[in-house]
Amino acid sequence: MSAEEQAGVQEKSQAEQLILSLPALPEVEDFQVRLSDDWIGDPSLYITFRLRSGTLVDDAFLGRFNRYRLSVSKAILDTDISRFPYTDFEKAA
Amino acid sequence: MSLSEDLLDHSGEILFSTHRELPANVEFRRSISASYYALFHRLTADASELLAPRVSSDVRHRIQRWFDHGEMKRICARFAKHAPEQPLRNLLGGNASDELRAVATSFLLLQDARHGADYDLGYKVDLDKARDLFITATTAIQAWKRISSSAEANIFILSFVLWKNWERDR
Repeated sequence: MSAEEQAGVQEKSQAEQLILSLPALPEVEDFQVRLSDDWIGDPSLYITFRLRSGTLVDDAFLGRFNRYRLSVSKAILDTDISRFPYTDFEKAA
Repeated sequence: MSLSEDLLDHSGEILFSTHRELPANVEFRRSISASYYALFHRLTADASELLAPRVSSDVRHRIQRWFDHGEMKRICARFAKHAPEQPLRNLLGGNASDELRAVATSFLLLQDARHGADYDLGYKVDLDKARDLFITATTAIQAWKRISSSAEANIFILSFVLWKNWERDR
């Protein structure tokens, strides 16, 4: 594994631990952090929050999710993690 | 109405119109693109106004074409960070406010999504994703309006075109 790949794995793990330490959104059941390059080729974190089954994705929820994702992003950006955190959600299968 | 407002309305019309059937996949993609461009044009319009408040609208429209999506991404990434690097830290007198950081973060999110929506045939879109990004754009534009007259907002906007000058002036 190259030094860069190792650094990516470390940042992924750091982000995962950080997200777990933050106040959770009740509708979020789980999350996944993935390493990938963004559209311009910059190494990034892609964080997908899986919602609990039956979650109503209405405007009220979307407003709460936006505040949550910004707080998660801010927490990550407040660390020395170099990769930018792109956040998204998906509904339970 | 400004182009930014028109684009946001257009995105919302696609998603929230009750008199039509569920939008097709392509319309979710158009909505995501419009949401991004609503924020992009809001920022570049305000930037042009700051740089040249007395010119005609035709000239201002030409100035708006100076702004490069990739460069704006890089600038937003700098402002989104806590403890920004120099010369930004000195220019701001510390960190950017949480609101400006939220605008910068939202810009990056929307830009990446727009790229997926417009170019990536494998990019997964649905109504919820498009609505999420519409809310993201709407919230970011509202946040920007609250701070757009501030000193940090001036520095943010000037950075889009003058970053190399800031760096030379360290």
